[in-house]
Amino acid sequence: MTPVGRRRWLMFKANRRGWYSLWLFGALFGLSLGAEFIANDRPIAFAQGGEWRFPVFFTYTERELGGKLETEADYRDPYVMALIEADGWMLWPIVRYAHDTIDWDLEPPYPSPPSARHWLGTDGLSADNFAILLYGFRLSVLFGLSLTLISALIGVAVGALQGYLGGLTDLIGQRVVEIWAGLPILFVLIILSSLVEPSFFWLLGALALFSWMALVGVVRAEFLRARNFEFVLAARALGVRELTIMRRHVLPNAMVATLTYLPFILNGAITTLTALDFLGFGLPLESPSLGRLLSQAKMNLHAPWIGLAAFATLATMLTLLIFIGEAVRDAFDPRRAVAGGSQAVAAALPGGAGG
Amino acid sequence: MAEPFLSVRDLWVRFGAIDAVRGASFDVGQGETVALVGESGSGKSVSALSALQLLPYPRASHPRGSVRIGGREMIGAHAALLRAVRGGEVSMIFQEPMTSLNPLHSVARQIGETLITHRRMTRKAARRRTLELLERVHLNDAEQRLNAYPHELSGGQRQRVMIAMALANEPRLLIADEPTTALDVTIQARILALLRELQTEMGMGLLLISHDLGIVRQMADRLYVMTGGEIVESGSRQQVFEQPRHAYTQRLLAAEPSGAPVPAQPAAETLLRLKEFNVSYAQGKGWLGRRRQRPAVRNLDLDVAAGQTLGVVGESGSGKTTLGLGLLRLIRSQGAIEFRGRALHERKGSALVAERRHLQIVFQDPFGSLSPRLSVQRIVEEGLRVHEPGMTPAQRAARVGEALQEVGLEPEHMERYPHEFSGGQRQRICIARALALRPEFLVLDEPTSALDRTVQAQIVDLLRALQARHGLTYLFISHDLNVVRALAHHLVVMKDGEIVEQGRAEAVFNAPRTQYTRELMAAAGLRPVGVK
Repeated sequence: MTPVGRRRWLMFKANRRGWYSLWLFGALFGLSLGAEFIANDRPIAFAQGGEWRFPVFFTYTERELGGKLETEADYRDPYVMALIEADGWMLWPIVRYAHDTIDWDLEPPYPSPPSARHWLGTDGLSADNFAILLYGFRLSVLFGLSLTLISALIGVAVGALQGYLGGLTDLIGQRVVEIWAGLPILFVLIILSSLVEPSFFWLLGALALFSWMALVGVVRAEFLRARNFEFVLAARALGVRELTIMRRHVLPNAMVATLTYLPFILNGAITTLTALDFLGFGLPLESPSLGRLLSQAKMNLHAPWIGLAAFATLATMLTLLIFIGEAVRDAFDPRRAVAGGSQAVAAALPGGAGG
Repeated sequence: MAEPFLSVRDLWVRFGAIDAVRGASFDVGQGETVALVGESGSGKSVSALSALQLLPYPRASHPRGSVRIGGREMIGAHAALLRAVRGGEVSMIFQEPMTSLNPLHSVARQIGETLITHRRMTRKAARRRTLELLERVHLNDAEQRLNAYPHELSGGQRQRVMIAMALANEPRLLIADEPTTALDVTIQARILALLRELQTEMGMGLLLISHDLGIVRQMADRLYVMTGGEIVESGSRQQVFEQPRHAYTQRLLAAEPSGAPVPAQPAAETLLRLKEFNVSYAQGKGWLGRRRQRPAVRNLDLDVAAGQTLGVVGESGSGKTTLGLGLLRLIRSQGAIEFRGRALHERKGSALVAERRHLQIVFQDPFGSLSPRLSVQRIVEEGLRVHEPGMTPAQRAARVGEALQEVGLEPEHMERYPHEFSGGQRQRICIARALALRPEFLVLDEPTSALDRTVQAQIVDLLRALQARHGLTYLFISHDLNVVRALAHHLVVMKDGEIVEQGRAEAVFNAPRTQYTRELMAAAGLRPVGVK
């Protein structure tokens, strides 16, 4: 790691709240990435007749296990269980339900309250809430991260070009952004969703069409300010290419502003996805969704465990991300890097003059 | 003997864990001018601000000491008393006339406001009194200026408005914090004369805070020398200037840039030649209309001899910086630029980039000219990455270390960031960046004006040493003739984009031909030798 990177890393670590939030979020996200090993309706592995099989990774038909049907084995079927356990054993995940597993054995009425069988109860379709939250968390974070990355790339590029080139480019670019920002985004998304059956990537693209604008303003302002700085002139005098100047001298100055926005964009992306799901214009029905769980909670007000669980998950996720974002932002600020009082004093003096 | 109007005793100012002022004591009586002298960071502004309790409390605190104004204790005084003293009995003017005035209010309103609040005057009376004040500070066309906004005024005019504002309530003490630092040299002299005139007329005390010994020598009856938060010497002007007792004062007085330029080669060839050189800026654009051009440099012909320094002097706005940027092709220009006989003005793209390694620039502001987010190594090696793409990182680091050593910095400091260095050190980094490519020609755009006196002298010494060692050619731009005299072989005096006087440096200094040059020299405290 370069000394710069090391110092930033140390700065980040010095921020206790951000540092613990990162660990907690990392642990949660890591766990959710392995959701199939934690909550699944098939065993992680089973041995049958001395042969190991891994249903998490591979699909086996019932016939392969010695049954009759050509379809995929349903491991929760007592018949299939008996087939395997007759000559071997199964390693089950902690929770024996995936997000889309319907527990037919449960007594109505659905949703059923938390129990030893369903830790956080079930939703209106008798699917396990814990499994939905686990898979939904993973999907939300992945969606949010992808959307943030895409919007940051587009936004920074557009803002940088506008600010650095200025003049007519800037004038036209700003007007386009203004018109584009004037579109009623939610309605456009609803109309688009009614035309096309949205998938993960389709939704990602649709949201990226609008979310890139958040960064254009700040990045443009930073570039506009910095393009006439003396260090930019000095670099030009050294013969450095314009693109390199933009990247090396101006972009880092815009990065703090950008990073300040990123956690909000990430949170915004997750919230938008949740909102669309809640309204029923989001991801396809078979995908796990925090938003749809919330809408289930709204329809089943007599089952508060659904709403509480979904709320707690969303709140935790969004709060942790903000804390991490704050710590990253501070770590990238070189003026905070010197943990000395003299800086604070200099800032405290009127006009920053030391006398 | 009666107590002086302002009496500060054993004053301490603490910010967090740092004592910015340690046991300062000073007095200002009626009708006398007292100067607090020191370099930046010496605590002189903080001392003055604590007299009016204007520090950011509670972040700042006074562990000990007393400040008495007109016999009343100010530290811990009631807010009502402080308000009555501030702007009433004691007024203050600040360094930066640009930011000290509210840009949204007209001149009449800025001044009238204090009259209306402090004196309960009617609007009409306030306006009359404002006009009187503006006339008193010799603002031209005072009547028309009443409705002007700050951006319509020049720096000197703004400072006059500031002074008028400070005088509105006929204060008994005026605190002037570097009142002329941000102004042009010729305007400086006029503002100082105005302050002196007003002071004798109104009999107020004047507490002048300055780093500029030239100004203090002209103005002060008594002075206090501050360094590191302590007052190390005090006494009458004569005492301190003629028999400085403390080592620091002696150093400060000896720090005037001095010495002669490096002896020049007698028959030096011409390194750089400008012919009919013009630079103009676009100024506004009407609907469908053509851009109006405002010329900043007009029809300049100039020869720079190899291994020598050409000093370019003039007020701000005279086009000297524009000239420097233009001849490096950093801004658009017309006319011929010949470097070693090669037509620089015809070069484009990579051919121009290839030439850049021979011509470098050092800027005025050591804070603004270094990327705050790059380490010193990255900053200094930037040119090498462009012009020596074949170099390995180790070779580059070696060259960076060499360049840093050359300018008197430790090569170990390579990994640090600009904000960890003082102004003088940063300027050394800027010079190292320019030197890393081993150029032949350097444009030095006021490289010393943002620095403290003692540091200025060091930078001048460094530049001279580098020139002697490497035979560098300098184009040295400055408004400070003291510095120019210590470096330049030839001199060009610019005004409004044109050369008004040029020649060998000694010749110009000994017998300036134009009034303008004489004014510039007077402002720097220089007197032509040949003219009595």
